[in-house]
Amino acid sequence: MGVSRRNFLKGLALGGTTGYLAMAGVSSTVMKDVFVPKPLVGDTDIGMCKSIKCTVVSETSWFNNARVVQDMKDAGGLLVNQYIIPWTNTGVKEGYNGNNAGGYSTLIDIEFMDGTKKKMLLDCGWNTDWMDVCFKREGVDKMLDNKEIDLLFVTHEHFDHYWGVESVMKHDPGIRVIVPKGFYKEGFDLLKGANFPVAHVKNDFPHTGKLEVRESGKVHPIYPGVASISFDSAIITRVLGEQALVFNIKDKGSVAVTGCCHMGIISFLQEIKQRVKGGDKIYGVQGGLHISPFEDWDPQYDDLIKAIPKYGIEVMGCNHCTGYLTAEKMVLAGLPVVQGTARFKSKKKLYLGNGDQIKFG
Amino acid sequence: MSEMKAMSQEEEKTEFNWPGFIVGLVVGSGLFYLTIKLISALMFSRTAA
Ligand SMILES: [Fe+2]
Ligand SMILES: [Fe+2]
Repeated sequence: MGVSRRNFLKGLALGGTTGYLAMAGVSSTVMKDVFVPKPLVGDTDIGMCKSIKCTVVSETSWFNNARVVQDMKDAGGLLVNQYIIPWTNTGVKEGYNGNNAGGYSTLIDIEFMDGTKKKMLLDCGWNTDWMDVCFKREGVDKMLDNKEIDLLFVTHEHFDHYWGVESVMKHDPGIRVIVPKGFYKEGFDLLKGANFPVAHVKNDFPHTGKLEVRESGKVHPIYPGVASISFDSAIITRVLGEQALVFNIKDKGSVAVTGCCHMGIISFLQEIKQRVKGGDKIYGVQGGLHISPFEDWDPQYDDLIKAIPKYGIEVMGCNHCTGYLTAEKMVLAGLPVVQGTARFKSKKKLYLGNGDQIKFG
Repeated sequence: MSEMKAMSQEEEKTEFNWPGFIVGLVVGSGLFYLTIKLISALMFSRTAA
C-alpha cells in the first residue's frame, strides 16, 4: 500500500509539472486572448453629419505668457481661485490696448446630411474688448443679433475660455448655453450678471435662455452626428471639469474639437474610441491640445508626440495651448499639422491662428 | 522470502502510475491557469493605479 502511494505521488509530480508547463505554453500562444482584455469598442451611435467648418475667432488667450504665469504666482500659485487673481490688464506692450487678456473662441458651421446647416460657438474668450473686435471681424456679432448661432458650448470655466461671456450675452442673452459639470457658483453668477472687480471680469447682460450642465462620463448627443463628452478634470486656477466635441463625418470618420483639452488629447481620443460608434477612425482634430501652453518642454511631452501618430489622424488642426514648440515637434514626427496665416495677433504660421478656417468633410 | 519481497518492490517502482499522472496534469495546469488569471486581473485592473 505504501509503495503504490509513492508511485501515485511520483505520477502526480510528473503530471503536475507536465500540466503546469503545458498550460504555460498553451496560455501564452493559442489561449492568450483569454487573458488579455478585449479593447472596448464604442457603441453609442451619435448619427452622422456631412461636414463641419471651424473658424478660429481667437486662439490668443493672452498676449504675454510670462505675465499670465507671474499673475498666478503672485496670487499664491496655480491652485488659487481664478476669480480672486488681479490679472494684469494695463501696461502690457504686446497686449490689446495694454490688456494682457485675449481669449479663445471658435465658430463651428455644421452641415447635416439633409443639407441643412447650424452654427455653434465653442467658448467665448476672455477680454470683452478683444472679443468684441474678434466677433466683429468674423461676423459673429451679427450672427448673434440675428439668432443664427444655435448654442454656446463652454468647454470649461477657465478665464480665457469663459470670461468673455458678456460679448455673447450683449447680442443674444437668450442663447442656449451648455457647460460641463464642475462649474462653480461664481461661474453661474457671472452668467446671471455678476461683477468680480478684483479679477476685472463682469457681465452686464444676464443670460435668459436655457442652461444645461453636462454630467461627466457620458456621451451627450447635441445634433445628428454631433455629441459632447465631459471629463472630471481638475485644472489650474481651481477649475473643475471640461467637455469637448466629437463629430461623425460621413465617409471620413470622427473629428475631435477641443477647447483646452486639459483631460489630455490621448484621454479624449481614447474616450471617443471606446464610447462612440465609429470612433476607432479618428479623421481629424481641431483646438487646443494642452501640451506646452507656456512654451516650456518636459521629456514626458515627447511620449505624447510619439503616441499621437498611432491614431492615424489625417488632418491635424491645433492652436492655443498646444504650444508652438509642440507644433514644431509634431511636424517633425510627421503629423499632418495644418498651418495658419499668423494674422490678427497670432504669432506664428505653425498652426491655425486668428481668422483661419479649417473644413472637415 | 525476504528476497522475493525485495524483487516485488523493484518491480513496483518502475511501474508508471497513470491515475497519478492524470490528476497531476489537471492540478498542475489548473494551478498555472489560476496564477496567470490572477496576474492578468491585477495587470489590467482599471481601478488600480
Ligand atoms: Fe485654454
Ligand atoms: Fe484652460
